[in-house]
Amino acid sequence: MRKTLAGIVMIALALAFGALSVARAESKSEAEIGKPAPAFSLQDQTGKTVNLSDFKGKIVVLEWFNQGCPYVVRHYEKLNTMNTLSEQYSSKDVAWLAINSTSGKSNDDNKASAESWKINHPVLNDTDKTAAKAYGAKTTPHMFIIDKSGNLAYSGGIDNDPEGTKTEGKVNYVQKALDELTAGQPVSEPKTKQYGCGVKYEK
Amino acid sequence: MRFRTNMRWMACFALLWAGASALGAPAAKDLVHANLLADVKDVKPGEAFHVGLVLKIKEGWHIYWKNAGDSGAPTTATLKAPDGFKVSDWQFPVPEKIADPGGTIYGYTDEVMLVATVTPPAGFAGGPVELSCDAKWLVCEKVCLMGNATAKVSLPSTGNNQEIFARWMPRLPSAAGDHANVSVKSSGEGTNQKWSGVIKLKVPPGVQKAEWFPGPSESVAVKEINVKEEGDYAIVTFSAERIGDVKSPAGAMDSVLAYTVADGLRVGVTVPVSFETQSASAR
Repeated sequence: MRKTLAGIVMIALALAFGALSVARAESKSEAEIGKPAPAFSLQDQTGKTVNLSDFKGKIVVLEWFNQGCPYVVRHYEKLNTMNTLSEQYSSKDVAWLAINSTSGKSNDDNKASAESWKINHPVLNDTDKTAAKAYGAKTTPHMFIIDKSGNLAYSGGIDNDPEGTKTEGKVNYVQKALDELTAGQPVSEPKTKQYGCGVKYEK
Repeated sequence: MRFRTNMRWMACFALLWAGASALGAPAAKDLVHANLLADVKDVKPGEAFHVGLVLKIKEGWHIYWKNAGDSGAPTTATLKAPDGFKVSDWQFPVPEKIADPGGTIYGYTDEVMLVATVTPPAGFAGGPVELSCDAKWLVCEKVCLMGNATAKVSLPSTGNNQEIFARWMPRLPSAAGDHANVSVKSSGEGTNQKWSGVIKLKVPPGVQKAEWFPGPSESVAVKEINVKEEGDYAIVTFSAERIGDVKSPAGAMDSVLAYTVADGLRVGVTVPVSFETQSASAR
C-alpha cells in the first residue's frame, strides 16, 4: 500500500513537473522547397518505429499535430479534413504522417487521440522536436509534402481559411498540391502561409 | 498509520496538482476580458469620435497583432453602429515582439486598446446610440484557446474615459509621410521570386529599441530582419520570399516601425512597402 501510494506521488509529481520543464531550443535550419526532405525516425502511437525512408518512392504528407490546439481540433472534429484527405489519397500512393512535437505528449496520448478521432494514419511522437527543427515546423497544423523523389514540394497551411469562416473561394492547398503531384505536375503554390498554434519549442 | 495517512494526503494533493497542470485548461472567457468605450459622453451631428476596444489579458498569456507572425492568429473586431454612421477600420497600437523559440510572434500582453473612428451623420437628430463590437482572438500561453465576445457601449453616458484614451492614442502608429525612404529590390521570378529591402526612417533624436513589424500578407514571407538606430535614422534591412498564388500580384503591406522616445513612450510609424511581381509566365 505504502509503495503504491509513494508510486502515485512520484508519477503525479513527474507529470506536474513534466508540464513545467524547460530546455534550450537550438537554432533551426529549415527544409527548403526542391531540396531533399530531412530524414527522421520516430515512434508511432503503437510504439512502432517509422522512418521517412520507409516511404521511398511515395508522396508523403507531413501534418504537424497537437491534440490540444483548437485549429487541429477543428480539422478533426468539425471538418474531418485530415482523415478525409489521408484516406482519399492513400490509393494514389500517398502516405500521410501526423507528427506531434508537443512537449509532454506520449505515444499513449497520441493513441488516445487516434482512437477518438478515428485516425488511420500514424501519429508520430517528436517531443524532442528533432523533426520539427529539421523542417522548421512553426504551427499546428503546418503541412509539408515530399514528392516521389524525396524532395520537399510544399510547405504551408492546410487551406486558405485560418478562421474557418470562408463560404466561398476556399482552397485546400494540400489537396491542390496532391492533385498536381499525382498528375505528374509541379506544385503551383509550393509555399503558403502556415497558420495555427505555435509548435511548443520550450524556451 | 500516521505515515500512511500523510502519504494518502500527499498522493491526493499531487494528483490534483498534476491534474490541474495537465488537464485543467483555463476557460477562454477567463483569459481575455473585452470592454467597449467611447471618448465622448454624447453624440453630436457630424462630429467624429473614437471608440476603443479594450482587451485585458491574463498575466502570462498573449493575443496577436494584425500580422500574428510565424504562428497564432490576428485579433479581429467588427463594429456595428446605427444606420448612417460611418465606421473606420480598427487601428492597432504598436505591437510587442513576443519571445517564442518556435518563431517570431507579434502581439500584446496585459492590455491593449484597438481604436476606431465613428462619424455620425450630419443630420443626426439625437437620442440614444448603441455601438456593438464582435471581437475574436486566439489567446496563447503554453496552450492556445479561441475566444470571442460582444462588447457594447451606449451613449449618452456618464463615463469618463479620457485617461485610457490618453494612454493608448499615442501608441497608434502615425503616417510616415515623407520621413520614410523605402527601397525594395527583386530577384528571381514566379515561385522563386525573392526581395531584399531597406527602409530608412527619420526619427527624433535619441530614440531607442527600434523594431520593425512586417504587415499581414498572403503573398510575401519576410525572413531576415535587422534594425539599427543611426543618427537621425532608424534603418531596417530585410529579405522576403514569394509565397501563395504567384499568378496574383505580390502587392503591398503596411508595416510598422516602432521605437521608444525620450520619455519612455513606445510609438510607431506606418510604412507602406510594395513588392514588385515578376511572373514566370510573363517571359
